[in-house]
Amino acid sequence: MYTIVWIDEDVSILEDLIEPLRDAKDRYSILEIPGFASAKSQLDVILSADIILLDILGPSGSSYLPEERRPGIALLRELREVHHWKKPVICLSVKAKDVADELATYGVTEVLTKPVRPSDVKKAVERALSHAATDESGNLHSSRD
Amino acid sequence: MPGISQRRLKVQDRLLDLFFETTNLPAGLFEIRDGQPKSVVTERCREGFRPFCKIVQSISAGCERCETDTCNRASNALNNQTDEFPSEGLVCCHAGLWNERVPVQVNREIRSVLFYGEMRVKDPEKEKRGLSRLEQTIQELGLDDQQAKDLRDAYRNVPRLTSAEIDRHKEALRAYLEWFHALVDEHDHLEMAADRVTHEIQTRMTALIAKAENLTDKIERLAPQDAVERALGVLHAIEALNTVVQTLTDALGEYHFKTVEIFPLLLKSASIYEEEAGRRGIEIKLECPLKLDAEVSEAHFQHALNNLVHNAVKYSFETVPSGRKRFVLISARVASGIGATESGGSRNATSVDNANHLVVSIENYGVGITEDEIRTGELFQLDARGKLTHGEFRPGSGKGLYFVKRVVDGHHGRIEVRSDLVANEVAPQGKPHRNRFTVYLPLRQRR
Repeated sequence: MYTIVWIDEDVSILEDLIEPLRDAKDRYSILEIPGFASAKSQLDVILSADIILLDILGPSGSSYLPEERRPGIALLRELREVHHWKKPVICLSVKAKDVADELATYGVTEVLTKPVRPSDVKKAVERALSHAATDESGNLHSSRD
Repeated sequence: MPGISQRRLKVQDRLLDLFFETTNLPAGLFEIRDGQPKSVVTERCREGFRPFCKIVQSISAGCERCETDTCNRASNALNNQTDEFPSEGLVCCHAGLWNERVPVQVNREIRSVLFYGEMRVKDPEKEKRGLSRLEQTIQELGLDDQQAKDLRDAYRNVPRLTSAEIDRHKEALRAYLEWFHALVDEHDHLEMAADRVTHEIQTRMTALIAKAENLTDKIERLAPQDAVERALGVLHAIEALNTVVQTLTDALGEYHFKTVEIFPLLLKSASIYEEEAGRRGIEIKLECPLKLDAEVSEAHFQHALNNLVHNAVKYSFETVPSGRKRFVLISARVASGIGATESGGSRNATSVDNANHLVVSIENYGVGITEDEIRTGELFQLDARGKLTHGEFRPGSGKGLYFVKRVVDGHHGRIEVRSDLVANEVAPQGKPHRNRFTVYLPLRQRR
């Protein structure tokens, strides 16, 4: 069983996006965090995830804006640089091209540009988990499910 | 057509060139791009570098020192304003030339820092310091006698400016700076507004596509009633998207007034956002007589209602386990001879006779609206951002309430807002407020 943490300020509007993942309830357990204020208080939950689906929010004004106005990027940086959390992160964004390079530096597995289909999200999660299960020498780790 | 970022850079380059051409002082700009300080020096300005600088940069180690110096200056200017590196003033480069540093601020935030000069300063202390740096550079670069002589000669030929001259140029630069301010401000404003609009549309599009794909995948296995419910979900997602588009594009055109029943309009608004509200544990309650009609421009009024209901849902605190059930209350009635003034709370109250008015109220429990936003009507301005909206309650497109106010005005009505602090305790989502938007419309339009 894999734990997916989904952080998105529009969880209540976009719930249908993760329906196929929810349907595979023997394989995935999904925790929703409806925004970055909650994310700050649920860091333990986030760090215990096998994969994170993260809406990077905006990025309004992209690289010209300070980090506090780009909370998705700030959270990502904190996970990677402060907590050295190395598991896969899939980003969702309405305008990913502006921050693609920056996301790559934080080891984001994949960036999905909205509008995106539920089947695309599920495939991206499966790909990321499959890659994560393969170590650098190409050996597969034992399946967790 | 180049994008806004490219246009900004082009104009910015031209301004730097103009400054150089006017003052003969090479200028450069440092700003944060992709999270890193980046220097901007135009080709024109590069050509105008002092022969002294060209000699230093022709030496490999000298070039490295210039780059390191530049990066340090940029980083210090943008991030650390210390006594050694104040945000504004003259700074001495590693080889002994002076540059004036001028920060470009937007909303008290340093966005970029201008450097200009590559000059000597007619001031004994500064001359001494500059020469000391020069000799240190000659020594550290290990220049031979001829190279050292050439560099000292070039240094002597660098223009010397008095403080008064520097200040005069600074005044010229200030005018350029004002352009920069306006430019950067407009750039950010447009980009932010475009991003917020894009986000609103893309989010609703994603919701619609997700519902449609899930329905397509499952329709053969669904019971008829479930299929109908899911199809209704798709319809509501389309309606929500339509409201976003109509609000943003203002494409509804002229008002066409006719007498319509109000209850179905309220019910439609409630239905569109019911699922979204339900996912957050919020119930939408409706209190309206079945037989209540008023003369409205139906499409305009519907989308205005949709905006108000959506806002109420979006900015509501969600029901938490073991907590009280949260709800959004939509109510409508006819008011006869009631004064509009109410006491307490924050509101934009004006006293008018409400006789023969349709009164529609939308109430919620959640993020508040400041007294100032209500008193000044700021919350109804285009691109307004709620001062208390943050975290989970990110501001929307900034066009919803602006649209609502225009529709209410178009109906010769008015809108009243109250936001009462319910408790001083700070929940994770902020301080709870009971908010009420009340729309007063004449039952019959003037002929």
